[in-house]
Amino acid sequence: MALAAASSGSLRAGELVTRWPFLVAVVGLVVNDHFAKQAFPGAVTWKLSDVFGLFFFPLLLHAMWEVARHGLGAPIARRSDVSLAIACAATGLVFSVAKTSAWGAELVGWGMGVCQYAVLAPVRLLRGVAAGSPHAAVIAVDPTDLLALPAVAVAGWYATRRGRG
Amino acid sequence: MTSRWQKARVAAGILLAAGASVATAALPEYESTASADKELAPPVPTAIQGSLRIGLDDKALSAAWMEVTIAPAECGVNGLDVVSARVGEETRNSTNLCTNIPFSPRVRAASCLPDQQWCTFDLPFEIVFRSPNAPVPSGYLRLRANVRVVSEAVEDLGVVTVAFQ
Repeated sequence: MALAAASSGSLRAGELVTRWPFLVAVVGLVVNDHFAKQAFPGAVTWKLSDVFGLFFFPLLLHAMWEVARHGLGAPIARRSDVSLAIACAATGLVFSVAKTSAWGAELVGWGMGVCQYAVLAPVRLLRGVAAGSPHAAVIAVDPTDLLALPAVAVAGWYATRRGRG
Repeated sequence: MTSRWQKARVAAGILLAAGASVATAALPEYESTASADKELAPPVPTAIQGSLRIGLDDKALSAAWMEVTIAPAECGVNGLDVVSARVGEETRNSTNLCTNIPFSPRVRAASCLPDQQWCTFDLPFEIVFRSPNAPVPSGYLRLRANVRVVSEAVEDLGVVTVAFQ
């Protein structure tokens, strides 16, 4: 069974991404970016996307790692605290570098741009238009966005708590 | 709940979050730009100091970030290279800085009162040249400043102005 129970009472591999806090954060990010920022421009909507993103992204990384690992036949650990900690640390580190340095913002922007291109290029080709070339996503260097970093810790705490069942 | 159903939920959660991340990177960008030129008599000085007076509509202050680019228009011609440049508190040092020297001073760092409809502030700059006394092909040295205010969500950013002081 690919997604067998880890142990009695604990979550199955990747199951955190099916829970409502994760889904609220994902939907919140989309709603805030595409509607709220325009309807209510200001500091709150500006930071809210960072909070949502920093909450769900480590959980997403952790879930992808768990599922991939289990798909390769690895047994599910009772609690995969190490991969969760790495996901949280990587998210926080990359976000901090992108928000505090021009080179970091450009590097992460290119990473996002390439991911975006990987999705959009096939769509464009299917529509019969040129795939174009990847462009770096614009990321604003703004150290005050680091105020959203505690969301990573909240995600780690939440995942640990849920993982223990 | 079946394992298959659980797998589908996990896969849907991962795809949803990955899609949201890409959609965020794919947000439309709106911008308002301004540029100004300043002509200096030759020869090329060792360094130029001055300031840019930038004017922003309050709509631009609400949800935007700002990029300032300043460089000699003839940069790169006849050895007219810039070795370091500073705009506001940001400095770039390079062995070959030329036509694109982007800076990202945050709009919100500007000293504007919250209830002002229009915000004007001065941004000091300094450019250090590699080859002082180099000949200038066009007979004068032209500094060009570009200001670009970018927003992911606010379509009408209003008018942006820039002038050398």
